[in-house]
Amino acid sequence: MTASFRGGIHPRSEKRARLYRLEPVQTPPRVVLHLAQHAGAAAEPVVKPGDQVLRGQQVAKPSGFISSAVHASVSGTVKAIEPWPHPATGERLPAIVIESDGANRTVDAGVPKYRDYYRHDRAAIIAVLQEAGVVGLGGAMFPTHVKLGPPAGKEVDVLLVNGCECEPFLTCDDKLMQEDTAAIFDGIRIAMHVLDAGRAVVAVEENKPEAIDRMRAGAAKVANVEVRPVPVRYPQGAEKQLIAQVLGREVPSGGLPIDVGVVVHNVATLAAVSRAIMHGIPLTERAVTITGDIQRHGNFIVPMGTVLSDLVKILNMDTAAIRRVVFGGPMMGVAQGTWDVPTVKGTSGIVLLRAEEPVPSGPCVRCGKCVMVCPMGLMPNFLSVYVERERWDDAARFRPLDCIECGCCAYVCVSRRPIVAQVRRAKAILRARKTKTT
Amino acid sequence: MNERSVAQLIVEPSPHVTAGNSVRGMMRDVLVALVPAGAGSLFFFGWRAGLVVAVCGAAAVLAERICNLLRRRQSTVGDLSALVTGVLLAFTLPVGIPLWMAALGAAVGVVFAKQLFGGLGFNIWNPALVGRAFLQISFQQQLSRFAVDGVASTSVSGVSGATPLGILKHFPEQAAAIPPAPVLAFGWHGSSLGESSEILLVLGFLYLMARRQVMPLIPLAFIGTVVAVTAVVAPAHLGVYLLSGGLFLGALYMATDPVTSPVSPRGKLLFGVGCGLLTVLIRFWGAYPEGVCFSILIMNTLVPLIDRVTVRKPFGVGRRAS
Repeated sequence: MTASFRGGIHPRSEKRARLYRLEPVQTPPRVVLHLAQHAGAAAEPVVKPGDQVLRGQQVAKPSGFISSAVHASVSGTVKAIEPWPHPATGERLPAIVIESDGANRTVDAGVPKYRDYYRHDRAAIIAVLQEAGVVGLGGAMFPTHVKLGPPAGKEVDVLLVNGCECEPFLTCDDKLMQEDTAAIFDGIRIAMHVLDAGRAVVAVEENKPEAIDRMRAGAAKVANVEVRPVPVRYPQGAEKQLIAQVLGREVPSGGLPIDVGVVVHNVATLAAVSRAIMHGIPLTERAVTITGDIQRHGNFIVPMGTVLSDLVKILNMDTAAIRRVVFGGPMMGVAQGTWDVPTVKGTSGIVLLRAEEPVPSGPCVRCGKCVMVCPMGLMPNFLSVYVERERWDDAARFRPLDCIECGCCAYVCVSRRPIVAQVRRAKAILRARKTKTT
Repeated sequence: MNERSVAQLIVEPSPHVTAGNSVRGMMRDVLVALVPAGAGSLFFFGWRAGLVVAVCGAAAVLAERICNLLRRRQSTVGDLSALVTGVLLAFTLPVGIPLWMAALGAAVGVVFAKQLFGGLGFNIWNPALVGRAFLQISFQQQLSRFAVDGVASTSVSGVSGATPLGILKHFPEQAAAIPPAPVLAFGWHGSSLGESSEILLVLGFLYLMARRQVMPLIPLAFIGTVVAVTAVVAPAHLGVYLLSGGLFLGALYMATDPVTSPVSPRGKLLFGVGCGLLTVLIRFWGAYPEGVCFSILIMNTLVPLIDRVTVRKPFGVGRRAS
């Protein structure tokens, strides 16, 4: 099938870090573990200041079904539970601070090992994943056990494995597919079993030939799994666009992939699933691409909660010229206002940019470039103008809630208008209205 | 960690990289695209063509700057849009126009059609065409005197100063004096400054397309509609109607003005067809030999309506959640 989606852009790939293998970093002197490292309710601390903890020990438990656990990523002493800047929101939110003893003593975390996962049912496996703190590592941090436990009546026929990594600069998924292929395929088999999905398709952008080769070799050993190279076009890795590209199915507005029989998981998430289920290892570290206008690029295995200022010291980076710090990719990532910000489970990359001064935005000249690139078929120009004039009813006609915030519109805007931020504002206002009226 | 770098970090909403597009870059590309036709006008009409372009450009820029000062705004001269307005206006004028008149037209376009509406992005009508329409209404005589240096006046001898469209309108018995289509397309005929050579205008437009600054939807719909109707109404002179008036200049460079044309592809199609229909309506049944200018201005007026009825259907809309 040669389906596709409308729009999209071809930003410069800037994937310089692809030359570097996955490399563990030295244990940081402390970690700062946010209680909100997943979509849904924040986790509840089960330790208090002064407690000794081992690596892999649960320090916060899930506080509901749409919630997940958090584990110590180093061994040491709990120093405090206090507000820290959160890399996804910029707000100061409660986090558990652990001072490392440098020994990295690891606990057998008590998560059952289901090497024979196929003998266990869905409920048992998703319970393990929740206790192991496995969440979506593509960036959205949606609890994985929720996506693997769709409500009754929702049939899944395809597991779509997302190895697109369409964001510029980022290379950690590329390296993971090459170096941790077996774990990803274990995760695929577990997910197929849990979802009772008949087949799986692994989508990888064509600019990752080595990853495609390794994944094809892996897929040859598993029944009903196909590797599908997809064209290089941002946002190829966005769920709805990827489903349209690979399966020719259009997720309804306001709906989820499951509405068209699909569940999408990122490759790193599936590797984490396999470690939790097969080896009983909770999610305490992840691959993070560190790159940008610096000398030392790399794909590092970083303990969760490592503070950026510590990380920069450990890696001995010269950051004197850096003016912008982005967690995530440059298209959808979040600019940080401080170096003292810890990584979270969704931190796939840290992009350090020298970057020019901000360019002032001008009035919309209606050039229509944003309309041509919008992969959701929206008209960002009108949204932008109506938000600027605070005409919310008019803004609503242009369906801001369908926006996936991929940033293509702002990327091409000749007037450098902050369209994504404006759409977010419209979303917040319209959502608030909705809850008021119901 | 260290206070200095903490204070220095720049926080802006995503995305954190851009294509580096700018209004200035877009306008610069338009100016570059107009170079071939501008050079052609020097060749066909002599050095005074350059003078008219320079005067219009300077007057438009000056008017823009003065408005900036009166409105206490930062200078917007640098976005080059006023310069584009001036050059485009010059392209619609006959080479012999008094210079003060040309300057007045440019100033009227910039001040009344653009700055009074709030500047670039807020105007309803194409400023260059408003300037042109103002001149045409105020100084009918000077605007239809297309006497040109040498070439064209001899080739249309006896009706010196009339364009081929003027001949068809007012002196149909002299139609034989109109040069053949290839000559018209090359530009060797009586016309306003920049409209004469369709070949050079298309060349510039191809450059704009290659730079991804414009889509050919409006010109295709516009010119296609004119061709279709003319083929029925006046098939014998199809070449003249296609290649000798302001059709290409208007369709390629005026109707495509982003600010005053619809945003969605369907809207652009509708707009182009409307421009084409109004153009032939004026040409065949109106008082003027040429209708491009007024047809675009009328369609400019309808753009908000067209935008309203051509909202795109977003991805996933109309699909039912199972």
